[in-house]
Amino acid sequence: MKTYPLVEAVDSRPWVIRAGSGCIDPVNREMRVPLGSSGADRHVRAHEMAHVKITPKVSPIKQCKKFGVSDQALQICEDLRVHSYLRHCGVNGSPVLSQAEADSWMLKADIRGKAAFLVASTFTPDFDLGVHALRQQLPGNEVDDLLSKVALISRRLHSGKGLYRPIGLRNCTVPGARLFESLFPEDADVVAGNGDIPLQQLIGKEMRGGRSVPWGEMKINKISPHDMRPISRFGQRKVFTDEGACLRAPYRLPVDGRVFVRKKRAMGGTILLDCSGSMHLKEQELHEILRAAPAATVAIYSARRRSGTLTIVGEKGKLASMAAIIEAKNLSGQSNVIDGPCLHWLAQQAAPRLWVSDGLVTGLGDQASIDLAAEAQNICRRGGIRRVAKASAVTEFLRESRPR
Amino acid sequence: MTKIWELVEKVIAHSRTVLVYGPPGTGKSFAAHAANLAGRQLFSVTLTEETPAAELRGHFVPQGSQFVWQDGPALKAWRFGGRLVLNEIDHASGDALSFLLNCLDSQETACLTLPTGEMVKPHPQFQAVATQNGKPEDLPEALLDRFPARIEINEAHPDGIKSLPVDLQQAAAGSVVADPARRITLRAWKCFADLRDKIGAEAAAMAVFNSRAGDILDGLKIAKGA
Repeated sequence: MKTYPLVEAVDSRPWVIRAGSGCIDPVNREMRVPLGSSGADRHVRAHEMAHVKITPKVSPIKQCKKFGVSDQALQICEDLRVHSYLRHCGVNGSPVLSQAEADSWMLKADIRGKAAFLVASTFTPDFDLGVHALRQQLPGNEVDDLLSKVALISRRLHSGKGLYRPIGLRNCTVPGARLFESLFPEDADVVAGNGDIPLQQLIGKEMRGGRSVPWGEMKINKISPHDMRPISRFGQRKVFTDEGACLRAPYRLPVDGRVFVRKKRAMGGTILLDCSGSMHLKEQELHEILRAAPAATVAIYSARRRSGTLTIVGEKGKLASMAAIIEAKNLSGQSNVIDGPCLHWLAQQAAPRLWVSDGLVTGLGDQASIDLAAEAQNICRRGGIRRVAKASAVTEFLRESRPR
Repeated sequence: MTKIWELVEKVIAHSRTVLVYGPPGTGKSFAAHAANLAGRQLFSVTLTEETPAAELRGHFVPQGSQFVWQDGPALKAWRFGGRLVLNEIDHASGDALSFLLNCLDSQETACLTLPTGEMVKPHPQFQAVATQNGKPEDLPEALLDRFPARIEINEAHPDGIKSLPVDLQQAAAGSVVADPARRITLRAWKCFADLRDKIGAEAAAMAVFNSRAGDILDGLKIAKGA
């Protein structure tokens, strides 16, 4: 005896229902669900009915393109929203998987896959199976860390407006999916940047109603060449070696035998310094940065409530005078506001790319938002940007990364 | 009132014969009984393969030491200008069918000679409304010709839906015309609504919807939202 879901209760338009594993085609109004009488089958049918009720009737592929998130992230966060809705309605599901299946899944999956399982199964009995499987396979602190990140995603998703309406996909699911992408990047093993932002600090700082503020407007300012002073030798340097093809220093033969010359390119890169009120800039640190990396470009940024300025204070071995830097900083303001546009700029500059910031990013009106933090983190990941908390750490990093 | 049911009302008000067909439990019979009676007397028959023509036309019944003629519902409707509702007309037996061909003929040519020898012509106000679940093509061509006005019903009668509790109305409106495997009639919804008040939703769903009870309750909860 086949058992069909009562999809007519949630959508007045006619739906075609076929046997399947559990999916809907919202555009053609077709539902594929298991038609058996088990509790798991019933749970899948209820899940898909909830999708019909609260998921917008548009192509998921178009949604992914529109919001710039991966199919997987959007899907699991939408599943989380659906399970939250089912719990809200008092529909208690049965486990779809067995403990052995959950164990097997967790064993095979990478950290992103494990997190995806937990996010997608939140508020269902399968979540407990997943956690149990994880506790068998990972150390306790790693499991706790993973669970806290999943809880963060759930919290962000629930803070959006219209959670249980179709608009909730834009207001709740998409920010949740972006946060998931940020916390569990797809290419975590090969990514060059490490722009991890202390997202935990931003819990509860999201805007009321869940709508995130945008970034402020960024202007790029260049200090006049008259105010720039040379700090270190810029360009190529000679390195004497005892082997090579270019005999340039025969006079060193009796001294150390290093008669060959090799040219070495000066260390470069781009350093972006957050000069908001929470950060303190010292002239000495800027000098040290340019000595360690003469070819580096150094930029500072800060903003007022709606817009800010990125000022290039050092490039090609020259550094602006401190008076010019302070003047630029005073003109610009004391807030963050333009972290996103500045990071986009940094991502297009020469590597290595360093961002000196405490990571407390803000948008218009100097409003902190977990969405902006996740976006900044994603820019860092994609752009190979490394975040360091203090300017003093930059020279250390540059020395360590210098080719020998 | 939706367009299709408005059409049914209008056609019944002005046409001598009407065929209304569609899935069961949509309110066809309800409309045939209630729509624009305009003071007519109502006569209703549900046809089966066993229904003889005599049940429609009339027959002799013993009364004391003699037999007296008694008009059947079709003949009464003929004589007094009433409305004859023929439920499940596609189930009519050959005997009943041949009577109906004559009975539903046009006003000008229709004429019945009773076994008593009496000749009866139809009253100008006579009207026949037939209902069936199958398609009109299932009817014999000659009978089909007696119903030039044929209306397919593809939605539940709004009055039937309104009689249900608010939380069941959308589900009922959709499920009444769903695929046969998923269809739930208005009668089932009405029964569920009545039982729910008395014995609780779970028990009522188990009694009315059997194996679909869980899904029906889930669907109603999801539709309601909280």
